[in-house]
Amino acid sequence: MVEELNANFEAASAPSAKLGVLLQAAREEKKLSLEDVSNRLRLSLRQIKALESDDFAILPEATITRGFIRNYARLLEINPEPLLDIYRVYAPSEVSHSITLQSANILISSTRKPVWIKYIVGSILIALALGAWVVYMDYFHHMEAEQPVAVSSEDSAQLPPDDSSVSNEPMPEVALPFAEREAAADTASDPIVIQQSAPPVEPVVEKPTVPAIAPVVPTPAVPAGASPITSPSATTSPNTSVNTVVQPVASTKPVMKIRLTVNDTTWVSVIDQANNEIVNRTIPAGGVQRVEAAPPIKVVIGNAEGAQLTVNDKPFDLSPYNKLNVVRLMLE
Amino acid sequence: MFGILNSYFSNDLAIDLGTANTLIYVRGKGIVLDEPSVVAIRQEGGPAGKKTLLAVGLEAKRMLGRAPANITAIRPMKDGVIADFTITEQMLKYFIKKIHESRLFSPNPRIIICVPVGSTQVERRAIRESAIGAGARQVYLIEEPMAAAIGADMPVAEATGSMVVDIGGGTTEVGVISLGGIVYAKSERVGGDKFDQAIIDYIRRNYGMQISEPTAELIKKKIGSAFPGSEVLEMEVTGRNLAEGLPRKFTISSNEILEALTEPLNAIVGAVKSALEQTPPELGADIAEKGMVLTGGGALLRDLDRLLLEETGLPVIVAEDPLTCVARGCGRALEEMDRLGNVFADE
Repeated sequence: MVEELNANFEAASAPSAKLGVLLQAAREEKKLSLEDVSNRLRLSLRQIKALESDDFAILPEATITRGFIRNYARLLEINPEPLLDIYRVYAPSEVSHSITLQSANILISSTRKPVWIKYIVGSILIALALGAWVVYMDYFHHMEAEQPVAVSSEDSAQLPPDDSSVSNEPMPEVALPFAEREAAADTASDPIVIQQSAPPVEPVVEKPTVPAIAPVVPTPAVPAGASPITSPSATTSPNTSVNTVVQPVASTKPVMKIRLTVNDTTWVSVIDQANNEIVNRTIPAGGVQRVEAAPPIKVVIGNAEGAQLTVNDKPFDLSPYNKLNVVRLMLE
Repeated sequence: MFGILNSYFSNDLAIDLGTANTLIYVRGKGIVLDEPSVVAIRQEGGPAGKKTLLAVGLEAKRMLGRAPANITAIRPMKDGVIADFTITEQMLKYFIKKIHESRLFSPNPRIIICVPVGSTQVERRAIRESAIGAGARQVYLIEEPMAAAIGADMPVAEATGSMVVDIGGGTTEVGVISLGGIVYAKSERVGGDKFDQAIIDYIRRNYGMQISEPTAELIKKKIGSAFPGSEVLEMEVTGRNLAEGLPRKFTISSNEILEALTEPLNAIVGAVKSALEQTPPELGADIAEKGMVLTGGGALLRDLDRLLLEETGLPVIVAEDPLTCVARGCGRALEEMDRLGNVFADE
């Protein structure tokens, strides 16, 4: 009986045959109801109906469903292998399950940082920034304060004999011999003031009310912020008895043209006679900076190795003023 | 750098170091060795003489119970853990060398080895040490229910409960697995060996006959059953009559074996029931839908699934090729070991 059933079953189980139809036929052959099968296999009626209607979607994953089919076939005393072959054809493609849990791998830190740490770190940063600013300001003020004193002593002592040469120079704007002497004397610390003997043009508009205090670098009695070009009348450089190059400063004092060409990134600062910082920038490599201002002009060039300076379109040798790759000079 | 060299000279292995059988899976090749965990040792020149390894595996198993006084056939694993450390190490060394034959250098593989879930730290360390002693470069441990579930291709990493019952030679491992980890596991030191012993005891008690372990195993395989079936099988057995001291033949039926196996089977049913009791209800619902999967050699005992089905009222499925499930699961873990982490067990 069973052999006969198996033979019939083998014949029927062509690949086109439906798994559910075969199972149902075999069950009916055995005169078993769905409930009997459910009791024997401990499967729910829903699962058995799904097996018999090829509804594999509601059955568990393939490895379990194959087990169900094997158990069912054994109950019906038929060979499970052809059924499993059919199941492999019709079942949803069997993918191997991943064997590890995919993790987002975000580490959960159990120790919370106290809030006050933020404030402490913040205040330390602010303190550092303040300190840096104070040091910076102090350094530059110190430099500015030093300049007049140093130059005045130089001037009073050494300038008079060179007076004539200065006036005879083909480049009257810049007192080069003075600069050279400076380099020879190797007075290492002080910035250099380059005297510019402006050609006496106009009669001096005397301002007797402004007495000279600083002998070389004239402190202009101009309100801060006034541009030297727009208000030339205010640029009254007082005649000092100490300065041998007597500069009768006219109201129409000629404008000095400075051109700085750099072949490496260079920082430059130009301060005019009114102590206004006209230029303070970093010039990129190959850049050019032109300045037109009334002397005296204070020029500071950082990274001065690759900088060429022309004053009134004439080349100006920076090397004597170059200290530690920074040039500080006063053009007058 | 040496890791690359080593991996060139030796393949990574996954070992199912079982009480009854040892299976070795080689990365990229599959299961290459399946031999009984038996070692035969010859004692030369009296008790103080040196010991030599006579045979390992199948050959040694044939010597079990048949050896003369100077040869001892030993099963170094007992109840799923190492009973004789030195012999286990020698056996592993022999197997590893066997699958690496015709190699110039001694093999130095990375090894995944499975341990019973209920094994103690000392037992786990013994297994690790013996693998290192056998030449392993690095040893990873994986718990048997996890390996069995992976081997049975259950969705271990998904948020659904899967229950696996692995009945091995020495232990029965019941595990409920979800999200890549073991939610509940119980290990019972009952397995194929206990079945054999129960049959030996039953026959001695009821027939006054002494039979050997291999005979008991044969009876279990041929007519052993866990649930009263429709047909009764009979088998002729030869043993030594304890009263007469002579070999005698007798016939035993499957119903008697069923009676003999009642005690160890009850222990397994108890372990499964206790696992179901401890399982969280949500996972319990998944298990009621899908049932439990039987793996291991014990799953081949006739109608064991039927017994568990009737006792628990849940569907029970015997995995395909249950004997190699754990080894295949270890092998799968081996293939993917470089991106695994949480599957491996701590010591």
